[in-house]
Amino acid sequence: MDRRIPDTVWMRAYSEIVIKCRDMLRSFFILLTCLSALSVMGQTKLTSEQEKQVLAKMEQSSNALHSLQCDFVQSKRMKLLSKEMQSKGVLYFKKPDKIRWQYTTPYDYTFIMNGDKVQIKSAKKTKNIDIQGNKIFRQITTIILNTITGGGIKNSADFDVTLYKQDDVYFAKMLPKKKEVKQVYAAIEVYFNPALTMVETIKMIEKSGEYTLVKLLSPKVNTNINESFFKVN
Amino acid sequence: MRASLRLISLLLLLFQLPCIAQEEIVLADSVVVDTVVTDTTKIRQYDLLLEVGTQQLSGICMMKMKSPTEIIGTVINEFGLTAFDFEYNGKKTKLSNLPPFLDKWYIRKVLQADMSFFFSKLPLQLDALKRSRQITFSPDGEVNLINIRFKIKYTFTPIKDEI
Repeated sequence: MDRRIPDTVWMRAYSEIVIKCRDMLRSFFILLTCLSALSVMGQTKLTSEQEKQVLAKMEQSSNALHSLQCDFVQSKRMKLLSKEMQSKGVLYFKKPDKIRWQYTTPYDYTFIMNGDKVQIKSAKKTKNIDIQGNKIFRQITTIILNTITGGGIKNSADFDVTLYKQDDVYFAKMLPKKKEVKQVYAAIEVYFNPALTMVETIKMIEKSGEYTLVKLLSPKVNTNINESFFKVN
Repeated sequence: MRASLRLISLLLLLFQLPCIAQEEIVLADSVVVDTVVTDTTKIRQYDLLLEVGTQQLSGICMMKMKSPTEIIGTVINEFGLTAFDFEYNGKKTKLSNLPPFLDKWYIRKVLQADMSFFFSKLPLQLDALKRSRQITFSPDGEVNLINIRFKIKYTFTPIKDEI
């Protein structure tokens, strides 16, 4: 007696499996589409009228800002190590182009910008850079100045900027235009406080999808900052 | 009889050899645990200064054990930008996630070979000079690696905080 299972039974079973897999895949893609729609539902692009109002408010706040002193917390999620690295420091800014960006923990690293001069101090070395002769540093300092003040953000020649609102928070999505920045960053997002008077968070998204978040904390606006903080030797 | 005694002695000696070798491995492992990469959960951080001629690059190098022989890690600059990720399998290092300006075959080749030399010398922490590479370990934990041929100097200074 032939005890083999007839070919027709195999065929039927096979086609049932194929149909089930197809249905599962379809459901999975529907779910995926719904989830991605949900994630962007929270943020809406501003209309040109809203954008005009928000930019005017930002410009007003930026014009009123002459100096800023605050703490910052920088965090970076590292995919490979499955960990978040956090560094902390202080920021001093004085208009028009003086910045002291100082990491205090877990490492010592200070970036000082004073006009065209930049000084980088690490635990081991101090290095002076002339921005005019260094394309990448010119880009970096432009990004820092644009993002700290938020003023003139839309007029940036180096980025395509779109404004969004997510819940009560406004943020600018800056897509780099220049090759040097484009090579490393996919986008930079600058989040403002609800009153639009201050930048609160800067999110720097790399091409790989990894990102660094910088949160500015306890800001002190228009206080007297010692000039020596910006001294480039 | 004498022949069989010789054979037994030889066999005993042969059986002892792996035990001696094992002792050495354990000793080496204990050095790893005490000094460099602690375990698979804790990440060791280093300030990294890379000097090529008059040019200098600084960053943070973070690494952890993936297994008793494998090390994985990443190098980022102080502002958080990734320079590259690395995976050392006990023999070779593989780099990934490099930005386009670093992603050149000749840069990869030198970096991978230098990193492999660095990781191979980490467990015992003994100064070494091999072909065109020299590594020195300071008592404070600082590690200096020099690629003599290409005049590249790597200085790894331990950061106390562990993640």
